[in-house]
Amino acid sequence: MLKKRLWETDHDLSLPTRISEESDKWKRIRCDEVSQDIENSYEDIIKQISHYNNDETTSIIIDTMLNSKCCARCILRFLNVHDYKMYSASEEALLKLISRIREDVLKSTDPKLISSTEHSFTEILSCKPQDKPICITCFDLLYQADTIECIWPIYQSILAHNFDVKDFNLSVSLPTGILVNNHSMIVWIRKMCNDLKVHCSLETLVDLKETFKPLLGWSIGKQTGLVYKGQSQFNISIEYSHEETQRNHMFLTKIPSAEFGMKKTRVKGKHIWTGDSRPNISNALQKVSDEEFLKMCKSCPPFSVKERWKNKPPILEHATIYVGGRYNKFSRDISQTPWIINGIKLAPTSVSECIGEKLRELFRCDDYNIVPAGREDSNVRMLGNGRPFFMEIINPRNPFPSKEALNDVQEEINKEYTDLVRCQRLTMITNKQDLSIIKEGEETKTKTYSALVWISKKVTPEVIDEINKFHDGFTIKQRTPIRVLQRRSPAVRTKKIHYIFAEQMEDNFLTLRMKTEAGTYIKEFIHGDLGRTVPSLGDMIGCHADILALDVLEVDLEWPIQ
Amino acid sequence: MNFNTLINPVYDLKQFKNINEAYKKNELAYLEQYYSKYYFVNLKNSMEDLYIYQAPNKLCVIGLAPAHPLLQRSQDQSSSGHYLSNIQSIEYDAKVKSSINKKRQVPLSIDTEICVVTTEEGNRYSIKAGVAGWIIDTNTRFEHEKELLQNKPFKEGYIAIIKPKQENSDKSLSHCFSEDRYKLIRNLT
Repeated sequence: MLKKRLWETDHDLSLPTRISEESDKWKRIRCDEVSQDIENSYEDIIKQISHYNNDETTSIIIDTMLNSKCCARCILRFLNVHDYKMYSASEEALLKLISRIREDVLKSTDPKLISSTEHSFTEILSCKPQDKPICITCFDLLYQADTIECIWPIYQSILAHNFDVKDFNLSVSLPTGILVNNHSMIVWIRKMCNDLKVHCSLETLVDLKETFKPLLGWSIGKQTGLVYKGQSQFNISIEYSHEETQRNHMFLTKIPSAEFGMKKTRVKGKHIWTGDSRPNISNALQKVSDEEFLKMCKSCPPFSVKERWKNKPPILEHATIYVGGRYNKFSRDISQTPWIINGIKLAPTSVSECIGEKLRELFRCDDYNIVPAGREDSNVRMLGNGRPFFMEIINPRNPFPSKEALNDVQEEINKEYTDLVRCQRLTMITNKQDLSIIKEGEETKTKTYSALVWISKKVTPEVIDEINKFHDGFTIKQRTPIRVLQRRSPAVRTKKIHYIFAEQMEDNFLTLRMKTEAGTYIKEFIHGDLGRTVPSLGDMIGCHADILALDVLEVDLEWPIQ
Repeated sequence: MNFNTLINPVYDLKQFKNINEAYKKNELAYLEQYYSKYYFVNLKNSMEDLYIYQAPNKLCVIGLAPAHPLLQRSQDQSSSGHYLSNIQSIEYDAKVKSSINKKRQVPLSIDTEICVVTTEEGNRYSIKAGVAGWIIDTNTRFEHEKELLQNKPFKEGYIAIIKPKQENSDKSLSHCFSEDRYKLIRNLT
């Protein structure tokens, strides 16, 4: 296997993942559509919240989370606010909103309460961002989702890779500590409710990822001018970590009902623990009862943390795109694809490289892969109107080149490799279903050939007649040729020769033109492959025959589809 | 290339002059395009030698070498002509034959018997594998055309196709001789 290639040095580009200016880092890039005046939507929000919890539960959720110094966005999550646009509002506005909710629910549960006091931590939480205690249910990831600090690594990556796209999608991987801490907070709130004999299920709440992605996405969108979409050909994936809590899930191994087993495996001589993937941890947490959790998990409620989230370098990838066309191969010295055996290159270049390298420059892609309708040996030329193929363009930075740019590349290929390769009708394939036509072409379409043949007797008009009386076609039986028997299983395959036409040349030479069924081995038909192809040309005229040159003249397949 | 040569290729016969001469001298010379020739010499008894033609993909075609008794014409006392011994049967070893195309194969050693040829005169010739490896295919045409073994021993009359255990030909065929050496050993011209 060849090593996977990357465009430039690319995915390993080291980028400034943090910003030096402390003041800039907290600056927020907010999506435009958010109405800062969320007070107007107050009735809506109350309706959403009361759908999930009664007023008593709501007040316990708010108080418990404020006591633990969770951020306002996380509190909204636990209250089941599904309108993600709300989360874009400023922390002060959200805290004010939460205080109002708290006051209202307290009043409704205790009518005697005339003037409630604000929760004591509200003030602490609305202080300067850098002095605010770190949220224990998002490690400030949600709190910072729309800040420069969070956007920066991705923004810098997009600039560095220079992707020419219009929209993007996000894949986010959160620290495992968040899974444990969120569950721990749920269990703790349920305990508080139980102690006060208040019903509380907290079975549904807004997952951190659900709110984090749009917040981050909208802000990246505003910064870059790209559109954040749930589905896009261009995907940005980023993984976040949190060192302090990354082993917090280990207590699960001591709870049998969690069915959480970690395995020690050896990779390249190093011992590595596996089994603690995010889905595994998440499943295990669901299986543990609250009683067991409270008994075994030391951090319930979650401890305060000293560090915020960290991110790994983002990975930017555009889905594979396809370019179709037809190629001619004029040389008997180059192969269709790189011909490498035991690390030794047996042909100087290949059709795939001549075309692919130029396309790689145009699309600025990591790698490419040719998928042709059948193949010819390196010493066989591909003439006529060429062989249909498509090229898989892997992770293109420039996925939408103009038709003119594609034509220019085609011309450049044809100019540079005049004697080797010609490429025609290069076209973007927009309908993926069209790609199956190529495979079909390989397996079902007829091929026309021209061959130079030597026979072990002088060629006379009689010999030519002997061959041409089969002009209208016949069938042959081919055992798997010895030359491919190391990779293809032995079998007898019946193949139709649609027509054959011989022409006399001087001495012992003649030329053949023939049209055959897909998958016919022409060389073996001529020399007989030690009697494994019957009849062979030699059998038909009662002598030995050998093929000296072969050319493909036509692959009968319409491609690319216009 | 212009349009006409794209659909009507022209072949320059001057390029093939040497091939033409070589082929005319020996009509089987073309086989050398496709195979490297080796000979497995039976040093123990008689002249029961084998040819081993190795293709570029390392597969070995096994057949009777020119010195093999089955290919020798002897003087017939009763008639004026020369005759070859008449073959009664060509029988492949059942175990060897059944392991074709199977995932788990019994490996062949150089001396594994893969086939037995008996003549009407009652002579029995044991054909060895000649190269250590795995059987890939036998010659099924013998079922109806036993005469191929003697009429066309170097083409249609091959006996088996074997995949050598060792990739490296210097190792897998180190016990064999080149064509020139073989001719010298067996006094052939």
